[in-house]
Amino acid sequence: MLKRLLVPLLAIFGLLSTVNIYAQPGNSSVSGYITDSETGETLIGANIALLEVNKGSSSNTLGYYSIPNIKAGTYTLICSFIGYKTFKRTFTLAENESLRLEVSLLPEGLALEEIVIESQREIREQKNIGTVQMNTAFIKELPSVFQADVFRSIQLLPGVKASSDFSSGLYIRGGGPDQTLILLDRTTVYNPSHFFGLFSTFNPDAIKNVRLFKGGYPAEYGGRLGSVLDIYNKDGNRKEVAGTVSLGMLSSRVMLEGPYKKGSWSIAARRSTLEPILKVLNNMDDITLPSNFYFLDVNGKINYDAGANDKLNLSFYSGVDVLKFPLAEDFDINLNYGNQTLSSNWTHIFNERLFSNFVFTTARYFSFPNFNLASTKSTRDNNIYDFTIKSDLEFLASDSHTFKGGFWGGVMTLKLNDSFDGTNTFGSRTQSNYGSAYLQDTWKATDQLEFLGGLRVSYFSDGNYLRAEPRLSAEFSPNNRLRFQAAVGRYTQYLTLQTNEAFTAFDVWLTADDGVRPSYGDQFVLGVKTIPFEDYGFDVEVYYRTMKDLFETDPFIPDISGLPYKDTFRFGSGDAYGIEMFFEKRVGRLTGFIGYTFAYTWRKFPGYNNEIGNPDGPGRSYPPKYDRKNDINVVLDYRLSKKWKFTTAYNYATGQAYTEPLGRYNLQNPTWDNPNFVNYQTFVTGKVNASRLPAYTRLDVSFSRKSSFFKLADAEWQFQIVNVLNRRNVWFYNYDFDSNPVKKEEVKLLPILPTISYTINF
Amino acid sequence: MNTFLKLSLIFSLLILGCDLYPQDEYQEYVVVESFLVADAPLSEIYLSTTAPTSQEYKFKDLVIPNANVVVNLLEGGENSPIEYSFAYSLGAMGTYMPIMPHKVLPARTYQLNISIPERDDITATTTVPNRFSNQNAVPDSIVYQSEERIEVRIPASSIADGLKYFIFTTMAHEATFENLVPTFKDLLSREDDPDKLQENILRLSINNSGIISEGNFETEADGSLILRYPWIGIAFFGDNTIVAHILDKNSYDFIRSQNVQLGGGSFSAGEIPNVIYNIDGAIGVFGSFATNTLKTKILRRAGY
Repeated sequence: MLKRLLVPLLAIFGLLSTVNIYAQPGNSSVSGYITDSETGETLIGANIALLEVNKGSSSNTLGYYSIPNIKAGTYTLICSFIGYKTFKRTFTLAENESLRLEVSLLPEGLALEEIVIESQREIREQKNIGTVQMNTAFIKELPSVFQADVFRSIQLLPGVKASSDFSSGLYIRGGGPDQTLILLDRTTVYNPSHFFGLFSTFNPDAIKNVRLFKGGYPAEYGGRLGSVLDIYNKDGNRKEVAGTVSLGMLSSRVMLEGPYKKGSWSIAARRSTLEPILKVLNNMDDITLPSNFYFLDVNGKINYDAGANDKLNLSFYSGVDVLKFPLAEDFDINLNYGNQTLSSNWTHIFNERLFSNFVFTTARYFSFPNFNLASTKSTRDNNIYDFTIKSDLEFLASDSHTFKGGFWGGVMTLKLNDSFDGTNTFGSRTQSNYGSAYLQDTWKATDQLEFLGGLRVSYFSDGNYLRAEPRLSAEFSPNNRLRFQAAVGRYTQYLTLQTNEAFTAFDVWLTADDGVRPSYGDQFVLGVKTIPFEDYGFDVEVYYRTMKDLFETDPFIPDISGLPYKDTFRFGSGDAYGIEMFFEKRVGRLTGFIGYTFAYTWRKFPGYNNEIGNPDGPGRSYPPKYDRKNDINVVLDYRLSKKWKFTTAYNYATGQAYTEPLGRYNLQNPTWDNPNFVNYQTFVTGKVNASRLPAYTRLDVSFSRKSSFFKLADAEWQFQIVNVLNRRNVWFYNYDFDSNPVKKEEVKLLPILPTISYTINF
Repeated sequence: MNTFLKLSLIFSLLILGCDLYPQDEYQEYVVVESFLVADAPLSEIYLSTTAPTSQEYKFKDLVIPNANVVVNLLEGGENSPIEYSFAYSLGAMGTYMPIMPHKVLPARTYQLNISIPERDDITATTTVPNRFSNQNAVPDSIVYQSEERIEVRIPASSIADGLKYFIFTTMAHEATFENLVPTFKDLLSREDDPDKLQENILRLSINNSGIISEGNFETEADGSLILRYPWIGIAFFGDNTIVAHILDKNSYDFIRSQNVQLGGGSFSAGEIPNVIYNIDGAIGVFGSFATNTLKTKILRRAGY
């Protein structure tokens, strides 16, 4: 269906493109970087426009903008970005002149009644179809479980769901966590979690920008069926040395940044601080606690300005979680897992029309769980090494056409070795070569109508798979307050994740191979973005997506040793559809949003969820646990005074899916088991996940107060209460067979949880 | 056009707020349980019905007393002619017992036929795994956690025809608190209630390894498998009996799928699948094993 739709569309697209490409009204241009005037940090997605000719652009992921094809003359350039004062400058361009104009935006003060001025174009980039941009200030202000967290903030957005209070995993538009590509400075992060999934690995102090493509994402991204989360670290302050120290109940953070002669640097570290609590608790009788339990992560970045047209940077991330848990004599569990990334980036501006970016990345994920029970050791060595090279070229061909192309190639090594009692029980080392190339064109057909069409071609060496992924989106803006959008595309995924939503430390990534075809799916998205009143936004998006050739480790296989690779999987399909609404107030004393999602998600695996008596049936579709029909989030941020601020987040969601046991029986003589205990108790269930837990409701509040740290630096106290109503939401039901009849017990989520933190900014 | 219609239908249903996926109602099923063991007498057959989870479960109240039960030894594979039939009769405790004695033949296929008035006929087949021997001599006694180990050596001829799955069951004959090995003694010493302590000791006295694939074993040059029995399987000092089971497909499917109902596998908490059944007209299992039994005495290490 998708092919039938896209082939003619792309053909028309190409034809029309050819017609318009030479219609250039002028040959002068203005370009440069957009930065924060206080820190020199480049700003991503800032909007810039020439007032007289109604031409505009927005800064790319490196903070660079370019407006080509301008006639000679005098112009007024206006640049705006959320949280900054509007920049305005008049300049004169000569014939054939390429003016380099660096734009420094002044951050807004926090005056009580101050209203930030925004142009109507302000949020265009952030409001592209399926796209959300989030700034780190917002992440830090939200009430959070123990500490500010990027993923938990994203979970508040429509279309994004959490599996539980204990998980920061992202379930976006019906996809599991493996269907979201997570990039940190263009490097793939394979296990973005701390404390088994309770928090994400991204330190909000180190992050500059978070951009989420929930669906229908363009051809420049690939590798996942569903969505892309593109995160960029801070470049570092280019004006002065500055820093932040934050002390929290669970973890503390420190960040330093500053300039040097040819650029800037930044470094941020975060470590959990549970040890004192563990020490106290360990001294109490009858409690067995870990002897060592912490996480640590460090982010760093150094920028080198080689010249006006060349910038280089090197960024890294390293994080680890460590657990040592002696449970009894001669019985202990150890866990060590984490990620490391390194990204070296070269940005080169060939001219005002041609912009390039080359990046070399390395990523490593490791997980080394092991236990020793009665001198019987069980170990796992799980490693991913991913080396990639990427390049993107952006060419502003004309007023109406911006071409972008690039490639992404890499070598990924997955090593998984299990041993039990000194014997290797499973060993696998696969080295996969992969590559992809894309070409896309943003075609501004008229002032009101814009298309983004592209084609991505990807290759994966294991199984020798070559796939084409056409993408097309369109936008019609009849006026400045209304945008109609549509997107359609094909997406391919060569990886799958073996994970547990409650415990991510054992995550194992697996690849397509001979007999294990890559997954693919089509996405269809329709959207309307409106500005019903000044400073308000109301957006609606409807989506439908398919998932074909899904492959995941067969959950019924107790021991994969000795099985051929393809026999360790089950193969299935799925689809998801829904409608998302987002009403927001972006500026003023009271800001915030209301997000609502109405959605369905389905999975289907042949032979699974059949009716009893029909074991060979095709399988019935069922919703995964994280499926929620209704999901409402309300986030409000109210500035009480110059010092005090109040933030609240409320979530209501349909209860998660679960399977209701309907009947039971007991085996009477399982000869391999203990005859003293007839514990082979067996459920007869109905349809998988056809029942629902009670609805989920949680209200979190936060008060923050600005103060001074001995008049040496700015400081802020943050008092938060998570689940202020102390509503004990149900995580899942546990069935107690020792009771007869079977007793259903609720396993509950977080109770009321007050936290306090203190932050010093210097 | 079909996709358009499908989408229109989906969104119409959404608007109407229909429940697209209602839960089933409880339905009663006939439950069969029987495991044949190679070279052992034909085993009993348990025939009952399921009970709703909301009701108290009492097996004797759920027994089906009026069934006609026959086990046929087939000449060859699943669809081959019957070589011999063994009739069963209802015995004590609501179980069906074979009327004529018969020693189960390894590597042969047996067929179960049950007819119950006013219910569907029930059929199932199992191919009994071939008998296997342990080619290694097991020492009469072994010091706990010493270099010497209990080793099982299974010849290649016993494990032909596909990947085999094992379960090892350890039975302690001197199961007392004093005889617990240090790890389990430490864990159980935290139990204050003497009744519960005794119950836990009884639970540990017979324990099993769960399903283990032959892929975990070391393979010798001649194709035979070597299993070094892990110390984790020993809970008590003193005399221990270890029974190695090779599972047929029906037992393997039943046990592996029953295990994930209680939280094993990678299912989300609360996603409970039905057990995999290889039986027509009923649920349960008609499976088989081949077994081999070892005996040894576990001696205390110096200091224990």
